[in-house]
Amino acid sequence: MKAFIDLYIKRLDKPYILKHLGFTTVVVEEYEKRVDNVNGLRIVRGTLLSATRLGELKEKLRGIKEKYPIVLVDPLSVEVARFAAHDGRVDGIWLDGENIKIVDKAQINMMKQYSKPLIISLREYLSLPDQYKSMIYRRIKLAIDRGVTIIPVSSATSYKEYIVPSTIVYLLSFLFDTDYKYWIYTLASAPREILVRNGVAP
Amino acid sequence: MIVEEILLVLSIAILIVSVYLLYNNLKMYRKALLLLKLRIGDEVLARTGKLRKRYIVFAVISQTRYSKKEINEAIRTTFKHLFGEAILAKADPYIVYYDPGVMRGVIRVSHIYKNHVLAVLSLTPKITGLDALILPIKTTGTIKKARKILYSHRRELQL
Repeated sequence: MKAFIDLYIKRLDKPYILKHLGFTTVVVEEYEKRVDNVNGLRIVRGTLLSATRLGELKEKLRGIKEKYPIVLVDPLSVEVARFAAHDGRVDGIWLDGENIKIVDKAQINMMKQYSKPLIISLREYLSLPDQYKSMIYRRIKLAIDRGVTIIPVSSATSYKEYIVPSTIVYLLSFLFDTDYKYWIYTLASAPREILVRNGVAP
Repeated sequence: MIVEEILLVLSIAILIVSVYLLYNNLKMYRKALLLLKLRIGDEVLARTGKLRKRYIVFAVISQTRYSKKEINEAIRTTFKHLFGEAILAKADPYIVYYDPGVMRGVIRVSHIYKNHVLAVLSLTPKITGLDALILPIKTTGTIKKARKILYSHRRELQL
């Protein structure tokens, strides 16, 4: 069985379910400890920062790694997106309906250059209007073609919103016309590389 | 001189025969390619031959106890929503067995569309508003084995 990792959960609810779903490590925003182990499930604290101005992002990033080992950035302007793409403290760039126009070809190329993954919240993606879904589909196809890793996350607030890795890989392979093995990689090995880089891997 | 002429005529004759044979072979090759294309076009079915069944053992993680009918309806609705009516008719996912006591069941589906059903399971609560998580446990080829797996797992998944 693969050791799946969910790179962003907003609020932890019934952690034992995550273990049954096949997760070994989860990154949770609303959690007290930096790194914790609960019944064989490793919980790492992480955060999602959103910023419109460069100064705002720099302010938020100052000393953040001491509290949160995993830092994701939701860029709301081009300058923030470009800065986040090459900053060493940032572990991934968030993609949703709000910043779809910011994540363009130049941004994808820059992310490829600095090995930054693109994070996509499935909960938000599935609730978007069809037009936005098509736009995100195009961005994701572009990123896959350029060799940028896409990491799907649940951003769950309750246990009902958790992703089931054994089914979601097939759904993603149908949605984005890719092999399901690619999605196994993005749910298991790719997030693990980020955890190893930050020294919080199990 | 005469010998040379004879050899020349002979070589021309051989050339004509070989061109004729090559042309015939090409015709055969084209026919074979066309047949292959037709088979590929006529879906995976043509290549896979006999339709076999697969039994997916699944567990429902929820605080609400749903009936077999509700779960079946939810899965079929989501399948139709995601892949359309034509594929639904071919795949025909159906819950052949469901135990509300342990909240586990068995879905029967055509072996070609097994991955389609697995994909649908992840979306079912989202589309139909089902207050639950559906977790596939194992896929088997016989219902006997599926039932055995259904009860062999511990009850730790229940809320």
